[in-house]
Amino acid sequence: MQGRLLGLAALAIAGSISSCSSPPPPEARLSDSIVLTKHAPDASFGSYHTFFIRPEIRVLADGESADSIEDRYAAILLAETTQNLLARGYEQVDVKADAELAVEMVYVRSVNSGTACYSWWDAYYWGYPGWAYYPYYGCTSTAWRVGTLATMIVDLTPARNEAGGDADGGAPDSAAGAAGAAPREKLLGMIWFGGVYGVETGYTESNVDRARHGIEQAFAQSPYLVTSP
Amino acid sequence: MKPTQSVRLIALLSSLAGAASAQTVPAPASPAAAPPAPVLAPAAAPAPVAAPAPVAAPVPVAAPAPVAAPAPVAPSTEPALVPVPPRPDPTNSNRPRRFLVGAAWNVAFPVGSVHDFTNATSALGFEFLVRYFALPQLSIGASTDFQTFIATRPRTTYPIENGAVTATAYNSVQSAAVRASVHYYFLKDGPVLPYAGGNIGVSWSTFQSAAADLAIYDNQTSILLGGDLGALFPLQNSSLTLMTALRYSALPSAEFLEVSDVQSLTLQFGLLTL
Repeated sequence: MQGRLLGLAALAIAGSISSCSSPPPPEARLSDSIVLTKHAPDASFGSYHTFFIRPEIRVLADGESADSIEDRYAAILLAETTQNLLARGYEQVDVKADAELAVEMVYVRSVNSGTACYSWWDAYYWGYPGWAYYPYYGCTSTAWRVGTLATMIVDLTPARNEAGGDADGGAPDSAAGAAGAAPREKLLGMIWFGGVYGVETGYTESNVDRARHGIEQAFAQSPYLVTSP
Repeated sequence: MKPTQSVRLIALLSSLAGAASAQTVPAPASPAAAPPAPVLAPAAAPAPVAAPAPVAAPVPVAAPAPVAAPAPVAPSTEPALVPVPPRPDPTNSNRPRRFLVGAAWNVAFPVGSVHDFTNATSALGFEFLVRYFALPQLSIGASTDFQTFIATRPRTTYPIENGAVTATAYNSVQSAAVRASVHYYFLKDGPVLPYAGGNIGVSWSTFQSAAADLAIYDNQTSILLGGDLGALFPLQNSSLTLMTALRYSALPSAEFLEVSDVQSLTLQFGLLTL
C-alpha cells in the first residue's frame, strides 16, 4: 500500500512540475530578430513634409566615445531608410535648418545602465543647442538593448518656429516643445522609433542584410508614417 | 516541456497497461474478496488404540482402552469448515459502495479559436480525481486538473500600445480547473468497464503572448463544460485500476486577443486506487 501511494505521489509530482512549464526566457527569445516600432501618441505625421537624415550611423556604448559604422555598410542602411521615407511622401532636404523632421540612425553596442541613453543624444548636431531630445518613453524602456539598430525621427518644428524658420507644418502648439517637457524646458519630441534587434556587432554582409530587412519591416508595420499631400 | 518525463510516464503507464491486459475480473477490496479459505475445526487427535491385553487367562475381555473425548462429527475425508460470509457478488446492486482516487496524465489537443493561438498538442497536463459509486453503474466525482499549452508561432506583427512588434511569438495558455462529474458505466463488472460522463466546473486560465522581453498576458475565469468517454481497467488481485478516456472541454468565457473561447480534446491516462 505504501509503495502504491509513493508511486501515485511520484506521478503527481512529475505531472505537476511539467504542467507548470513556461515559454523560453527573454534572453532566449531575443536571439531572434525582432522589429519594434513605437510612436508618440499625439504625433501628426501627416503635418510634416521634409526631413534630413544624418549621414552616419553612430555606435553607442556606455563610457566610450562615439564611433560610427563603416560607411560601406552604413550607406546601405541609410539608403533603405531614405527610400522608405520618400515612398511615404516626405521630401529629403540637404540643409538641416530646412527640415521639419530629423532622422537619425544609431547602433547600440553596449548598455550598462538603464539611464545611459540620456547622454546619447546630440541636439547640437541639429543646430538647436538650446533644445534637448530623448525618447518620449524614456531610457528605462526595453527599447535599448545590445545589438539594436535604432532609427529615430525627431520633430524639429518647435525649435524652427522659435528660431523664426518655416512655420508650416509641425505639431500644433509646437513652440511649447514636445509633450512631456517640463515647464520652460525646450524639448524636441522623438515621434517615431524603429528598433531592429538581433543585429550582430560584426558588420558582415548578412548582418547588414538582416538590418536592412528590419528597416523595411519597421516601415511596413507603421502605415501611419505618411505625409499628407 | 520535459520529453524525458513524458517518456517515463508513457513507459510506466504502458507497463501497467501490459499487466492489466493479463488480468480479468477486479477483486473487490473487502476482505471477503479472498476465496473462502477452509478453516479446520479443532480436530481431535486420533485416539490411541489400546494394545490388546495379553491373554493370560481366560479372563474377561480387557476393558477398552481409554478413549479420548468424542471428537465432533465430521466427514472422514474433509476438514470441517467454519462458516464465512458469502462473497459479495460484483453484479449485485447491494455490493459495497466504493471510492476511486487517483491521478491522470493528460495529453490535450486545442481546438476552436485557441488552436490559432497555441496549436501544439500539449502533454503538459495532470489531474487529481476522486469518484464515488453512488450506484453500481453510476459514479459521481470531483477533480482538479492543470494543463499548459505552449506554441511557437510564425513570425508575426503584433500591435502594442502606440506601436507594433514583429517577432516570433511564444504563446501559452496555462489553465487550472475544478470539476464535478458524473459517469455511467455500461457494464456492471468485467475486466473493462466502459463509461460515459459529463462534467461542469470552473476554470482559471492565464494567457500569455511573449516576444523578446515583451509579454502580453491576461487572466480569465470561465465556466467549464465537458464530456468524456472512457474505460476503467481494474487489475485483478489489486486495488489498482487503470483508466483511459477522451474528454472534451469548453471554456466559453475565456477570451484573449483573437481567442474567443478555449476548447480542447484531452486524452487521459490514469491510475486509480480503491
